[in-house]
Amino acid sequence: MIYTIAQHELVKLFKTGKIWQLLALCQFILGLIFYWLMEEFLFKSQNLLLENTRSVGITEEVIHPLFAWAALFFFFITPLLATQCVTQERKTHTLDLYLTSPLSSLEIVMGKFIGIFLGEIFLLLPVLIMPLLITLNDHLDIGQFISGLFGLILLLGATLSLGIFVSSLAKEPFISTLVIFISLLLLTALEWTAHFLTPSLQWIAELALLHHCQNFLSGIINTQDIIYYVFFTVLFLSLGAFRLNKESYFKRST
Amino acid sequence: MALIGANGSGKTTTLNLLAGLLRPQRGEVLIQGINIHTHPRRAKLHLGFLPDFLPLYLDLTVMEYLSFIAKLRQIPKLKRKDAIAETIEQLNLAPYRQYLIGRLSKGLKQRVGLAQAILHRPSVLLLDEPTQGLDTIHIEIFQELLKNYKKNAAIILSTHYLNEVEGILDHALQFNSEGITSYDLHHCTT
Repeated sequence: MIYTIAQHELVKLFKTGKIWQLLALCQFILGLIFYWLMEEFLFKSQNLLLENTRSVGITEEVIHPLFAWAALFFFFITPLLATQCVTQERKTHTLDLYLTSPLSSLEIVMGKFIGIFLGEIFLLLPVLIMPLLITLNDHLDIGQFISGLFGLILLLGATLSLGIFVSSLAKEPFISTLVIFISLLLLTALEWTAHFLTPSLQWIAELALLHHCQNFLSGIINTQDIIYYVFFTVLFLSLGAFRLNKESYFKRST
Repeated sequence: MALIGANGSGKTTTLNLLAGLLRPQRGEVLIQGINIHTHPRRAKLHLGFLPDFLPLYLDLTVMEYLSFIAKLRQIPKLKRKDAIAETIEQLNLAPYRQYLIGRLSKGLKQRVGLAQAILHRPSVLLLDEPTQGLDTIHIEIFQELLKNYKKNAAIILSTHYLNEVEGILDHALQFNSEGITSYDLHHCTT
C-alpha cells in the first residue's frame, strides 16, 4: 500500500507540472552557481599556476560548495512539496479518501514521504550532470563526490520528514509552507547561534541540520552524522503519522 | 436510511462520525460489528463514503482516479479491472473515462465521486447529499442503483429531498432543533 501511495504522489507531481517548473528553476539557479564556481576556480588556478604553487582540488573548490548551495536550494523546494502532502489534501478534501480507506496512518505518511522523496531525487539528478562534466577534462574525487551526494540525500530525507510533520499540523497551505521554511532556517541557524553561546551550550550546534552535512561534503562519512539524520527522519515521520492518526480528534464538522 | 433536516442540523456530522472522520464524545460506531475507532482498518474495509465535498484529484483522468481508488480500497488485483468497468457502466461514465476530472461538469464529478464510494462494493454505504448536481435522468439512474445496491448493503444518506429516496429506503431520521425523529418510510409511522 505504501508503494501505491508513493506512486500516486509521484504521478501527481508530474501530472500537475509542478516538478517540471521546479526542475527548470533548479537547473537555472544551480547552473548559474556552477558556472560562477567554475569561473572562480579557473581564476584561482591560473593565479596559483603563475605563483608556481600546486593547484587546489576541483572537488573541494567546486563540488563541495555546489552541493552546499543545492542543500540550501532544497530548503526552498521542500516546503512547497511537503505542503501538498497533507495540508493541500486536507484543503481539497482528498485526505478523506485516505482516512476512510483501510490504511494505517504510518502507511499514508510513509507512502507520501517516499513519493515526494523520489521526486526530490529526480530534481537532484540533473545537478549531478554538472560535476560529471568536470570528469571530461579534470580529475574528480569520486569518493568525496559520492560522500557529498549521500549527505545531501540524507539531508533531503530529514528536511522532508519535518515538512510532512508540519504539513500534517497545518490547515492552510501557505501557513504550512511558511512554517516549514522558518523551521528549516531555525534549525540551520542553530549552528551560527552556537558561536554566541558559552562552551557548555556548544552542543546546540550539534542539532543544526546543515552542521551534519559538512562532514559528508568534505568526503568524511561519520556514523554519528548518519544516525543524526536517520533519527531526525524517523522521529518526524512518526510524529506525522501520530498526528494523522489523531485527525478525528482535531477535525471539525464542515 | 435517509437523514433529513435543515442546513446545520447535524446530518454531515453524523455521516462523518459513522465514517470515522470524527470521534464521538460518547458511544461507539460499529461497522459490521467492528468498532471503527479501535479497529479502523478492518471496519473501513466494509465502508464506502461519499462526503459533501467531493474528494477528487482534478489532474487525473476518471480511469486513473478509479484505478488509484481500487488499490486504496484493497480490491484484489485480479478483480480490479472488472470492478472499475462495472462501476463505470453503472454510472454511465464510459464516454468520460479518459477525461480529466477537472474538466468534467458538476454532475459528472458527482458521479465520479459516487463511483469511488461504491467501487469496492462496501456493505455499508454512506452518502452525503448524493444527488447534488445530478440532472433528472441521472437521479433516476441513481435511484435504480440504490434499489439494486440496497439488496446487499446498508445505505445511509443525507438529503434535503425525501421524495428522491421514497420507496427506495426504509427509514428516515429527521434532524431538528428538538432532537431526532425516526420515520418508517414504508408505513409512514413515527
